Amino acid sequence: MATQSTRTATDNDTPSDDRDTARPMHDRDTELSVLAIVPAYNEAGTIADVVAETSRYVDKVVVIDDASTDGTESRAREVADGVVSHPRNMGVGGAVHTGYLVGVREEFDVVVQIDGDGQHDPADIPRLLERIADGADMVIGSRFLNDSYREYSLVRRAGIRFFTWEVNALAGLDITDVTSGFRAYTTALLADLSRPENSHWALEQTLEASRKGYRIVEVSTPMPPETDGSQFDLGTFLKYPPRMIKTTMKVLLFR
Amino acid sequence: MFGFSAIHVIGIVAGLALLYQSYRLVAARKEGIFEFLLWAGFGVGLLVISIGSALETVDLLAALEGGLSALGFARGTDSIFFVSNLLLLFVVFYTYVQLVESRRQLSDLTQELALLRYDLEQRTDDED
Ligand SMILES: Nc1nc2c(ncn2[C@@H]2O[C@H](COP(=O)(O)OP(=O)(O)O)[C@@H](O)[C@H]2O)c(=O)[nH]1
Ligand SMILES: [Mg+2]
Repeated sequence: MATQSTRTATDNDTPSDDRDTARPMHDRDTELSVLAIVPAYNEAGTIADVVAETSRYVDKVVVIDDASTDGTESRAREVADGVVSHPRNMGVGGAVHTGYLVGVREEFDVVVQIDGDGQHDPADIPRLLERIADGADMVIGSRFLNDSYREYSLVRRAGIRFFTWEVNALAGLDITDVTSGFRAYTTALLADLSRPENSHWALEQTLEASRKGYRIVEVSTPMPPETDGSQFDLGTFLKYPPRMIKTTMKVLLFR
Repeated sequence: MFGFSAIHVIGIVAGLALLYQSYRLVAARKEGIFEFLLWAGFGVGLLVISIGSALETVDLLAALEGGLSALGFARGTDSIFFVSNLLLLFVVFYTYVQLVESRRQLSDLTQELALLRYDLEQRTDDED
């Protein structure tokens, strides 16, 4: 069931000079079966497009609806191959973890994780998958390997840089965007990770994977900031110091 | 021989209540042996201190203070407070650990419930 794809690319044999995006990865390079999981909390406006686009590059798309209150679930059901609906909100960490469980239990080879808010471009998925095929266990899509980081507020950039620096320093990694939620993993890795906490799941996950000896690489993925998100407000600014202390403690103490 | 004042009565009632309630819970299998011993231990402790300090023939407080100062505590009454706070801290920590564990189990259940529904839907989808 996992390996069977209902979507066959129509243009498999047409040569195309644009990006390597038109054809499903598994038909071309490898026999890897790929599940995409889309965590979504109140993303009714964007979820259908994200799912429709994503399904061009993977075998199956499952939306994890995190108890949305805005019709995300019904929009998702129209387009996705499956929808897992949390009976109560569990936060991003809980949502992605539910997705990992699907990937592991349905015995996919690879899980791609892409946000439901449209921040990530599904057309980048084949490049993430390529690195998995090359032997990486985790691929992170980074907004710092291209110009999109410039659109983020200084506070946010500083925050991401700080967290990334911390993880790099303590886990001996060399990545640029540890907070990115655009990722691909082998299910072998996912099966070996513990449940993440709901905030800062990305940080914990990266650390744990690195400590367990998995190979983590990055690819450049454009990632505009949320359109409705305010650029520089005092609230985010004030939240940073306690968050930084908390994540620093995690980095130091989590084994 | 007895010098009961209100504080002693309160102590005795609270001690008996703790003993009775923890017995009731363990009898109904609503708590484990460890929890039973913990709470019943507090109950017995309360009874001993309340009755003991109400007895005029035995100077329990002095004995306690003596015992504690033998351990190296400077002043008797202070050390009693210190020890009881230590015990309470232990109880709070234990309760906290249990709470974290329950929260994790609740998350597991929430996920399993959602996944079960998803599985059922996937099966009905396959049929049509
Ligand atoms: N904010 C939020 N997002 C959630 C939650 N559960 C799942 N998500 C989804 O997780 C993804 C990332 O969330 P977002 O707030 O955009 O995080 P950011 O882009 O890293 O700042 C989005 O697709 C959300 O819809 C939740 O409880 N809160
Ligand atoms: Mg986002």
